[in-house]
Order: sequence, then structure tokens, then C-alpha cells
Amino acid sequence: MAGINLRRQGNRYEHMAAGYLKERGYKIVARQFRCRQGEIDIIAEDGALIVFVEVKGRRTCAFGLPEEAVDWRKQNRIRQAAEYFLWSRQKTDHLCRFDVVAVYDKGPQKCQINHIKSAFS
Amino acid sequence: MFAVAKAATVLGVNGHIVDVEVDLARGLPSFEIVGLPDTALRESRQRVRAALKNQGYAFPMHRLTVNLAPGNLRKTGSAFDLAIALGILAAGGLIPENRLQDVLVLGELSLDGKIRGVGGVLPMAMAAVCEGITEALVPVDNGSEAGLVQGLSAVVVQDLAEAVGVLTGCRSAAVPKPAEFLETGYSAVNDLSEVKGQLTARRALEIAAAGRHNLLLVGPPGCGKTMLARCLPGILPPLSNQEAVEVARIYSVANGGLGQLKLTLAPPFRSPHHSSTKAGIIGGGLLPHPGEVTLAHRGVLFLDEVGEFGRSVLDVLRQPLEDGVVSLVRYGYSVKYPSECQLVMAANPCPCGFLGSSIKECTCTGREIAAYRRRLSGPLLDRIDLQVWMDALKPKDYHTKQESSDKVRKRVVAARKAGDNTCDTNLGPADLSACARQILETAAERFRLSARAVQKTIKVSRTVALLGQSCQIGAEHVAEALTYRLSL
Amino acid sequence: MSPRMYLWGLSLLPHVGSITAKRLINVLGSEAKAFWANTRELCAAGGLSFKNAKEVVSAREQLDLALKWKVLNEEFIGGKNNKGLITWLDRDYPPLLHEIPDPPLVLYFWGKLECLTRPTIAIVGRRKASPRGIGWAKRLGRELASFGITIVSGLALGVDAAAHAGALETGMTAAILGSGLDRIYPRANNRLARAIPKKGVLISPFPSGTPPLRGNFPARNRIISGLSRGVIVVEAGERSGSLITASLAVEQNRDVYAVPGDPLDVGASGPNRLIQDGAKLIFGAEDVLEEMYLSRQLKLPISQEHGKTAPSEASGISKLDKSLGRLLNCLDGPLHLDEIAVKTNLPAADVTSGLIQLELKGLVEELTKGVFQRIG
Repeated sequence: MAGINLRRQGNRYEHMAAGYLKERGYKIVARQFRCRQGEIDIIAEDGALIVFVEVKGRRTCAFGLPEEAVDWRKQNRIRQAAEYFLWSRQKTDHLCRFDVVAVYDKGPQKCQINHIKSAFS
Repeated sequence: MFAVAKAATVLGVNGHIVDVEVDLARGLPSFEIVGLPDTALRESRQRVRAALKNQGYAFPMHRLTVNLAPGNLRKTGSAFDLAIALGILAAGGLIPENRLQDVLVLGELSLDGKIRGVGGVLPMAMAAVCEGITEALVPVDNGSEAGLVQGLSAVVVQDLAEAVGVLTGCRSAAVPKPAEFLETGYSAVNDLSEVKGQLTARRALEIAAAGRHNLLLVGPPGCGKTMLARCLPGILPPLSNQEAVEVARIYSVANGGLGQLKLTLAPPFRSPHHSSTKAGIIGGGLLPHPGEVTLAHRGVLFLDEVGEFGRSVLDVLRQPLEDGVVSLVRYGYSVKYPSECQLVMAANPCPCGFLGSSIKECTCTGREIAAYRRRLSGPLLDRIDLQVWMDALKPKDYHTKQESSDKVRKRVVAARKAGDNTCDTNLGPADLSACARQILETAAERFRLSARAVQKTIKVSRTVALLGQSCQIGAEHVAEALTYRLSL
Repeated sequence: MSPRMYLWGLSLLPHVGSITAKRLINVLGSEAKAFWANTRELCAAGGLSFKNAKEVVSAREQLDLALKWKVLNEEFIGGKNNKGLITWLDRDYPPLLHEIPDPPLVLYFWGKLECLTRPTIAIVGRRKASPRGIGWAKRLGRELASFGITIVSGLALGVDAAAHAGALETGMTAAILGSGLDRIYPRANNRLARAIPKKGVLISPFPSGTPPLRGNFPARNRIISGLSRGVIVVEAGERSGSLITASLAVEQNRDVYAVPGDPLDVGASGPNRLIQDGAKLIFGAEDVLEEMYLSRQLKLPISQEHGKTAPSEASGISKLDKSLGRLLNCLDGPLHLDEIAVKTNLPAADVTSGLIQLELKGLVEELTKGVFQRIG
């Protein structure tokens, strides 16, 4: 039951992040891209640059900041998934970037978004 | 999107030029260093990334590959940071692409982009000249070393931005002052005028200094063995400029770039503690590092309480002392360190130290004494030319006034000069005067001297003769040399 | 099957010392009977405990005496290397040894046994002697030997070795070992031990192959004093082996001489205590000679030989240059090189070179490392 609840929460944060990116001129290419290697929450294009975005949200900071939750294991999965994405779309000679969008959930209408560009590589 | 910078690594005490090739490719951003880097070099990625960012340069969002060529040479240390950073900027087009081709770039980066000193700049700069490189960018701390090398115009840089400025020509270059040959090192050791009594041991020290003979001092604790040994570098002739550079080269490698290099003409003096390991004495380790014999190159290696050293540690000293060079072979490569040093050893006559002393009873058993002596027996003793048996100081010795090191050094220098003029390395009994030969023959029979011991006696008597400014080896010279024969 | 063989056999048995053997022979009538004594006889006549007697019998059963005797004789007969065995039945058994209560049954020797027919004096002392003590021992050994006296000692380090070495220079010496003749102990004296058979004799009560066990040394000490007309103690600590030898000498009715020393010196406490207890205080070889009623005129061929070399040495002195003379004059006792340099006010180079020249001329000797003494 809690799992379903969390999934829904995650989708909400992703939705908010996508809206935030769109507002800033990004073109969303894919959402929740999944493959064997892992999954990428949002894939967007910033001009010629392909941006892979990982979205993390938290309601409380008791367990650390949301962006801290993206550890090296998670990063590796994202990197491999990104590689698969580029390969499958034949875009391997594009420049890319990995971003993290952190959502601080402080109530229904009071969300704060922190966009970390080039969070890792 | 490709650039090459020149850096260097050190193997033994020789520099090797390394091409730092940087390639920026499209694709997933990554940063890889290939070409046998060690851990310190792998960590260079974090430093370069931070330094570039903090100096206001954007880190490229490319697939970034750094290759260190030649690929089969093991690269160590942090001296590649600056070359990698500049290579990345050149590949990104911030620096003209071929500007880096003939510039040796050395330096470690701090996270804020400042450039730190590194070890081994002197041998690296020398290697660069051999390879036809004419320019060098070095850290401020290493400026004096690099400036010493003829044919290389070195420039010191403080941080990454300054390095870029110098290379693009928008900043004027700061030329370092080359290191000067200093004679100040002599003040660091003891002066012979402080040594009380011990007249024969003083004389033996003088002979040892004049003839580069290895010396063994045996005497009770507190009789001044250590102090006397510490006087030896003070009475040795100053190093020639070439020798000083040789020594500086070793220290440049060993010090790891900590502070300015001192180019002293005083011969080095090393006295490793008796708990030192084999690798500490002759050098070695996974990444070979010069040991104490190498650090004492052209100077004095002093082993105090030689009986306390591990037997195996003393045994490994044989080959370096014989050949003047340490060859260390590790998997995949080998290094050579010079080790032409004069050996001085000090030992107690027995474990308690008072055997034969006039002031205190010895409390050791015969078995203990034999075991103690056995420890310094064998091949190492073969290297000893002079041995002195010292006695404890007498109260009346405290007030005697003795010659200073400077005075003795003058005699030693004169003897060395005379010896260089009449250079004949293969001395035999034929070089002795008739009565000298007779004395040697009588002594050989009486003291049961081996052929090697006779040879050593002749060598030492020649030094004695040179000290006395005599061109012939006379009876008195042989007799004095016989006093210091090895007898345990 | 000679009595000598059985006597030798008795010496090889455990628990059978010279006193037990003597008693067995007296009671049972002959050496052979003593050797073949049964347990009861061993207990009754020999005074052994039953346990020890049984051990003796079992040891005897394992011992093939005749065969071993043959092997031993093959080794010694023919006078190879001057090695041999003497028993107390032999005519050349040292007469002085017959006087003591427990003379060894047999002695193994290597060298010139006839040197024990001359007057004998033992010189004993510390193993860890001072240069001064070594100098004294050497000097006494040299001087007494030059008068034809055989110097007896124990071939230990320090005083013993110095006494032997001094005696070898001018005369004869006998070294008594606490181990078999083939096991020289301490090994540092190997060279000295090899030199002794040429001019003296090595003697051991133990058969070949016996290691230098702790328990062997009291027997050796008894023989040292037993073989000698007097015992000179040069340097000894209190409760040392040398003092035991001295007290044995008193028991055996021998003279004890002592070289006095500084009362505060640990090394001199032994001889000083002996003097307090009545030993004869000596200042030099003459005192010993007088006590032994040997006048100075009594010079034997060896010493005359020595006398001949003396003048050539004397003429050597006149030829020596001034600094050598100065060195020689300042040597009033054992001195370290540095002390000599200070005393003569000569540079170290001249002192070291001069002393080696004097040493090679035989005018001074190095006692311990760096410490020199004038000879004569």
C-alpha cells in the first residue's frame, strides 16, 4: 500500500520537474525511459544538448537532502541507461549532460525546486 | 579537439618525458586517464576538475580521454596535474593547439587552481633538454631547480590562470632565479674542535677523509664515536659543482617537492636509525624510492650502533658499496640509484659496551660477546679499511684544546689534490720503499694479515703518505696504517 | 690384557672416580677384578649406592673394552702427533700428581710430556682480565719459562691464555683442558692450542669428544694445581674458579702466590683476599724463583737462547730515532694509544706509527685493543 503511495508521490514530483523544465525552454523527449540498464526520469533537449534528468523529492530533510540520495550506484545506472538511449536513437555524437532536479515538498502548493545542472558526469 | 602537452615522470633519479595527450569526444561525459597511472595520478581527475572550475573555466561536457605516452612506462606522482589541465584547455581551444608542444609543464594543482611544487623537477628538466624541449612551466617552489638547467628557459607560475596567460602571451613570464651553490651546509655538523681527547681516532678520521676510506669506530658508550663521525662531512673537501648537482638531483627526487632545493657543496651525511628496514637503507618499495645509501651519495653513510642493525639489512649493503650503484628490479621495470658513499660505522666492543674499558667493568659473557661480534662479521667488514679502538674519555681530556675542522680540512684537501695528480689505483708492494716493504712483510706474518688486508694497508699507507705530503710510501706510513688494521 | 687397559676402562665408567677406583683395586686385588666387579662388590668395596652400581654394570656391558683399547692404541702407538695416554701405573706419570689424594686414573696428552718433569708453576686468573692483568700474566709466564719452569694453566681466555702465550715465547707450557683434546674450548684459543704441542703439552683427563661441560672444570682445576709446585693468581674475582684452584692448591700442599692489586678493583679482590689469608705476595718472577729455591743462575738452554736475542734488541734500541725512544720511555705500564699521545705530547700519527714499529721489533706488545705495554 505504501509502495503505491510512493509511486504516486514520485510521479507527482516528476510532473512538477517536467513542468519546471518546460517553463525554462527545455524540450521534453521522454519520461520514465526504461531499459535493462536502468531508468531515466526525464530526458530533455536544451538546444543541441541532451539532458538526462533524475528527479528526487522529499517531504522532510530528516534523511538528508533529496539530491544527496543520488549516489554513485544510482549515477552508474543512469549513465548506462543514457548510453543505451543515445545508442538506440543513434545520437552518440551529441553532447550530453546529467542534471538532478530536487523537489522539496512542503505541502500541496508550496513546493520548492532546485535544478542542479551537470550534477555528475 | 585534441592537444598534446609535455610532462615528465621520474624513474630512479632520471627524468622521462611523458606526452600528455588529451582528446575531447562527443558522447556521454566522462574523464578517463590511461597509460599506467598510479593512484596519485588517477586522483588527478578530481583536482583538475575542481581547479578548472575554480579558476573560472568550464569543464567540457565531452567524453574526455587523457593518455600518457609512452604507455608502458609507469607514471607516478602528482606532477601531471598542470599538464592535464592545460591539455584540456588546449583541446577546448582556449590555448593555441601547438603552443604546448615544446613546453615542459610540471606542477600539482590545488583545488582552487594554485600550483604546488613537486619532486624531481631537476632530473625532469634535465631530461627535457635532452629531448630538445626549450621551455618549461614550473611551480614557484621548483623555480630554482629548473633555472639551474642550461638550455631550458623556465618560467614560474602561481596558478592555472597565470599559466594560461603566459602560454597565450597576455601575461609576462616570471623567470626564476637559479639555485646557487652554497657552502653553508658545513655548519650543520659538529666541528672537530668540540671533540675532546681521542687523538688516534681523530687522526683515523682525517685519514679516512683524505682517502675516502671506510671507517669502523669501536669503543665504550659515551666515548664520542657518534660525535666524531658527525665531524666527518666537515673535514671532507667540498663537492664539485657537478657533484653538487648530482646530489641535488637525488634530493629533488627524494624530497617530493617540499620547499626550495638547497644546492649545498657540503657532502651529505646520513645516519639512519638501526631499526631501519632493507628498503629504507638501499631504497625500494612498490614505487621505488631512494634509500639512505643513495641519499648519502658523494657523502657519508653513518651506521651508529651497527651491531643493532638487522643482519639482513647490513648484508644488502654489500653490493651498493661495492658497485656504487643500487639496481632495483621490480616487475616490469628496473631502476638504478647511485650510491657512492663513504661508510662509517660505530659499534660497542660488547653488548654492555665496556669490554676493555678503563672506567667500568664489562658484564657480558664470552658467548654474548661472540654473538655480538658475529653480527658485524663477514663481507661488510671486508669493506672496512680503517678500524679504531677508542677508550673512554679521561677527565683531563675535557680541557684539551683541539684543531678545528677547517684546519684539518685544508690538509685533507691538499692530500686529495696530491692524490689526484699521482693517480694510480692499482697499488702493490712494488710502490713501497724498501724499509716500508720490510715492515709490511714482518707485520703480515706477525699479525697474520690476509692478502686483502695487506692490500688495504697499502691503500691506507698511501693516504697517510699523501697527508704527510710525501711522494714515497715510507716505513712510518705503513706502520701508522697498520695501527688501524681491522681486528675484531 | 694389561692392567693399563682395565685402568683405562675404569676411567670410562660413570660414577667411578679416582678414589672409588683406588679403593676397588685395593680391596679386590687387581685392576681387572676392579673393572669386572659385580654390583655387590661395587657397593661394598667401592662405596657406591645400589642405583649407581647398577648403572656402572650396565655401562660396562655396553662397553667393548678390548676393541676400544685396540682402536685407542692404534691411534696413539707409533707416536703419531706426539699424542698418547698415560695411566698412574706408568713411569712417566707426573710424580707430583701421585701426591694428591685423588690423582686422575689416566691422562690424555698431546705434545711433549717431558716438560712436566721440569719445575712447574701454575698461573691462573680472570677470563675477563684487565690489560694490566694480561700484561702481568704474560710477563710472569715469559720470565718464569725462561728459567726452565713449565707454566701450567687452563687455556681459558684472559690470564690463562696470556700466561701460555708468554711462556711459549721463551720456554714450555702445559695446558690442562676441561674437554677432550679434540674439542678446544674456548674456540678463540684454537690458534694458541695448536701452537702448544710443539713447545709444550696439552693435557686432558677426558677422552676425545668430551664436550666442555660445566662439571668437567673442577677436575681440570684439581689437575692444574696438582701438577704444579705453586699456583700464581694474577687477577680473580671473589668466589671465582681461580680462587677454587688456589684453595685446592692449599689442600694439595702447594704454594700459593698472588699478585696484589688496588683494593677497590673488583678484579684484584681475589688475589688481595688470598694475600690476607696468607698467600705469598709477589712483585715479579724473582719472588717466585726465590721461593722455589731456584737461584737466578739456574738458566737452562732455552733461556740462554733468549739471552742471545736480547743484545740484538738492545742494539736495535740505539738505532731507534728519538720519538721511538720517547715512546718507549713513557710506557711505564699498559697505556692506551691516546694516553701515550697525551703523555709524550707527540702527534697521534707518530705515536701509532712508532708503536707498531716498536711492536714489530718486539719491544712493546699490544695487550688488549689499543693498549700497549713495554716488554721486559
